[in-house]
Amino acid sequence: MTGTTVAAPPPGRLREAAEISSVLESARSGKGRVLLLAGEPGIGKSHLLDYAARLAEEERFLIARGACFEDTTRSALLPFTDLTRDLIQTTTDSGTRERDATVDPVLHVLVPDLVAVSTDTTRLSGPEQRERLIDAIMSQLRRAAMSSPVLILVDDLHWADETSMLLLRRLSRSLRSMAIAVIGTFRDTEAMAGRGLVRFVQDMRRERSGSVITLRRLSSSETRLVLSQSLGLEQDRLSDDLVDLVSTRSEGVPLFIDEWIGHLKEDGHLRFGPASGWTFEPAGGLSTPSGVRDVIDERLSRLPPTTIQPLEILAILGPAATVEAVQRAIHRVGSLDEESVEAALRDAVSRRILVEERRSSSHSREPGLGFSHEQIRQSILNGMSAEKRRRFHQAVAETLEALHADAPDVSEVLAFHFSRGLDRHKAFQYTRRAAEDARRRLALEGAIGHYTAALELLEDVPEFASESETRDDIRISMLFAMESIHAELSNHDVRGRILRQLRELLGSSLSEDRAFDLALREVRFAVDIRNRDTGREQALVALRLAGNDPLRRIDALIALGETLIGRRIGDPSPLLDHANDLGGAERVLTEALDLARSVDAPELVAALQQELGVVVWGSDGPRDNARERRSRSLLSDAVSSFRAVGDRKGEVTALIALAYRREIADSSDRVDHLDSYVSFLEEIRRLRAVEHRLTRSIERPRSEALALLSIHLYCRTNGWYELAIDRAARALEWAAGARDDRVAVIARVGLSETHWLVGRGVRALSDAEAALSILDQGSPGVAVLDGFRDSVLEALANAQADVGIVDRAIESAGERVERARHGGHAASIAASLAGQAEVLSRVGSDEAALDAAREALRQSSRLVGSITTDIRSEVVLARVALKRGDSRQAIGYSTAATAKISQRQTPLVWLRTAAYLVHGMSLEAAGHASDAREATDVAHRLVSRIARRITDSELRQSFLGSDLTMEVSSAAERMKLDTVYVPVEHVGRPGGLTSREVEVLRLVASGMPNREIADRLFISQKTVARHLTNIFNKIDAQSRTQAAAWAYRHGIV
Amino acid sequence: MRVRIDREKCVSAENCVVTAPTVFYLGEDGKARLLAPDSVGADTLWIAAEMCPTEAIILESDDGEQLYP
Repeated sequence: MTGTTVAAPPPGRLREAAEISSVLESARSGKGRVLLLAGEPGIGKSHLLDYAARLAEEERFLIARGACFEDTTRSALLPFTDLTRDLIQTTTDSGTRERDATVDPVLHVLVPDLVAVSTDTTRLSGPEQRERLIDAIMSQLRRAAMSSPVLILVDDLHWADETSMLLLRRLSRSLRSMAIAVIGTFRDTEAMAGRGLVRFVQDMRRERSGSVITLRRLSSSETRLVLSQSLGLEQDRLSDDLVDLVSTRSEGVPLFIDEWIGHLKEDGHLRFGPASGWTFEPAGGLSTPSGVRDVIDERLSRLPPTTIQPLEILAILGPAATVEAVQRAIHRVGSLDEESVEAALRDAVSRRILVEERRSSSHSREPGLGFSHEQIRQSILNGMSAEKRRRFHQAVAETLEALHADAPDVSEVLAFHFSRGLDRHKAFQYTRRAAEDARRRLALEGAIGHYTAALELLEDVPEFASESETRDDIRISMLFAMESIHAELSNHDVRGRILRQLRELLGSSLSEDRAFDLALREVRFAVDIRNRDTGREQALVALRLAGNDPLRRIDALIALGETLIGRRIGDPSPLLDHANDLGGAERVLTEALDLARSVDAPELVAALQQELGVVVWGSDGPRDNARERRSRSLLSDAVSSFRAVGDRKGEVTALIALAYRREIADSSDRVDHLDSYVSFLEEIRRLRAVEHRLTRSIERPRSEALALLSIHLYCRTNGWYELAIDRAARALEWAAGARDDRVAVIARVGLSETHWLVGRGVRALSDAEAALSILDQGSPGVAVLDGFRDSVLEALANAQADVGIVDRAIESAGERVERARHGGHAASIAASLAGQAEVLSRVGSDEAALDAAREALRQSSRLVGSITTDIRSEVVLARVALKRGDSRQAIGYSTAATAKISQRQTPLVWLRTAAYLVHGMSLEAAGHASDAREATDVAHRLVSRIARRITDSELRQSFLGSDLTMEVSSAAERMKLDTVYVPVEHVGRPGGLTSREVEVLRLVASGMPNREIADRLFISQKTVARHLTNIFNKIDAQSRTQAAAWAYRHGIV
Repeated sequence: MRVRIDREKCVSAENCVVTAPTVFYLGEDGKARLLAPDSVGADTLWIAAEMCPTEAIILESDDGEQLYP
């Protein structure tokens, strides 16, 4: 038609085509989106995917297309298996050496031939492995998307398995920072659409990460366009009769239109002439089938019987199959020879009933033939008698068994065909195998489905038994397997039913092994559903059955221990409350640990050391030093034990548990140990990142960025502004590289707030404005951050007030209040009013500030625990009262504020400073000089500490010049505070010491002799001595002890 | 959305208290507790959870699926 290379959209689908282009465009610029196309069968969803694929190909996308099938819904990640394979092969093209470093071993379950197993992953539970599998695929995708944009196409999502939907949901959440577009289709007429799909669509709507378009039927003029393209005629040369007929009869369903064209051609009403092209001759006996099925049936009925039979076999085989498979299967049911079969299939291709497919089925990578539309296959299946279908399924099953016996995951397909065929025996065997295979592939829900089917089939084959297993054995082992999967998935209701069934089944034929196994399962179930009595009862049963077998006894003791601590061993969830018997658990687990040591079971030893470490530490209540030491020593043993058996996850978990316990004990006053506390927090985040890598994914850069922001927030709150700025700046840098707007906004707001706190109003303003502009661009990534606009407005108002743009500051603060009122959360209203009051009071609008602060207090009085808002409002009220000379009222408010602070009800150091400052000034105004000095001293001490921590002199100067700090220092001066804290002009390097001298002094103060100091600093002992002489002179000290005291007083150590 | 606090992990950094003071407070033992999770929107809860240095805040969807960490 036209000479351009641009793919033309299907007729009547301009809107959809535009949407597809926009999704691709957005992906190319690094902001991925999801587009779902919904509609009835035959409406043209797949054609639009074809169109998207052509379009993306022109734009050099990496394209991956997968489909979900009705017959094999249970195969985990079926639509993504090929994609994963391609990605691994492209990203590791350079050679196999690199493979191990970049490919997560968990991918073994999906592509066993490409990736080797690793114990790191097999140690994880099913759901954990699945999480990690999904992350591993995401990592591969992310990596691929860095070199070229990726388009993922998935057909028929209504048949997708749970794992695929999990992957899609997770993908859609992080898509916004990746160059990946996802386009999928589903039938909205299908009532059986899975729960996963429903949630996926809900997610998308909530997070605005994509959209759903429902395809509508074509109008009569669009039908004309289809006809014109299909027949190769200009639109005006089509007779109106033809267009009317097809348009009315097909009701505008594209597939139906195609079928009508085929029907009219075959019926002779559309004739082809060399000169005139196709012409329509309505005259004479036009049959007018009424539904799309009828048209298809009518067309099929014209096929010769020799063609129909191969098509029937093909339909049974599935959506697509190889010619060879059809030939072999025919051989088992009829007499058609190979040539006739092939000829028949070619005939069907020429009639556009069949099309060539890139792949013939999920378990074969050979090219094959498929139906041009699923509806045609359905019509053929409907045309067969039930008896014939059974015979054909049997033939297909036997054929595939012979052809693909060794193919991975063929069990599922064989189970499907045998179950619908004649051989119940094989149906059962393959269904059971399919269940095991599905579980291995982490299709946990699928495995349950197969096990359920296998149990039913077992009832159908009463004679079934093998030499090694009785029927009951089989039943019990399958029920045990199901119970384990349901336990992993936390389906406790079903678990309870299965255990009941097992109890009944085992009631009569109770072998000791089984009884022990069952008792343990009952205990775990009881622990999971918090049924302590049953748990204890069953644990004692297990203990009795364990007898003298040490391994069993360990299991039983652990089970008993679990009932006593109220959760499973190794479960990271918190320990318990007073109701649990920790003392008892300690005794039981200690015995288990001793036994485990004696039988040389290192993995159990590690797990028990870890658990005992946690139990000995306990939850609440008093704890003496001996217990703390014992707990830490157990945990540190656990770390070595896990390391010895190569259990990385265990090692990290134990390390984290140890880290908490080491720090919590030492951090009674962490403001004075801020640096050690911050490095502790960073250490924890680092360990958590390692843990994430084990259970979740190879790379989690975003979690590192969030870790930076979390340290930033902590430092900002506690007045370590230099570090706060550094961490936020690093997070921002990451966000820019990764195009993560969400992280960027949080970092910008953090920077703005910090700059404001250190008196850099101009920078604060530019950061706040940058944050606002990211929000205003409204990229999909920040849409979910709408609530964060409040923080942006607050930062903006503060910065604007600071640089003196009073009107704008009042406006911004007002906008925030308006937004909060509109949102209706009392907490946000109160907080926004408190912020507004602060801004108003700072710019001198006292009357308005009073109103805002009073209303903030009123709003927050309706809430529990909005202490920060109260303190902020009270500080404003006190300041205004003081300004108006009402010192009695000022004292009332400032006392209220400082009382809350002394109960540790806000960690915000600037707010604590402001509250003590106004308290001191109010007391001073009322003539209570000594109390005033005391309060002002608190504020002064706080700013001194903050200043002392700043090493950058420019930054320190601006902090010292900020409004709040100036107010504090002038109050301190006025009240002649004889402070021992660093005089502000000496902050940084007190006494005029050089940085090397400070270093030496620090080591001297820690009690180190000169020799060690020399070693530590890589200098000679003589040099150390010379430094010391200089230091002593500068600070006027006579001895090391005096020098150390000076160092402490001046905050050097 | 539902919020849980893993008290075993909580190290009293109070980032949650700073981010969402009506949702979190520190209990007697210095560990974070929940006050009124419904008093703020979901995005604030997300930020509070993401800002926790030890990932002790767990977010779950209404049907129990863990959303964070």
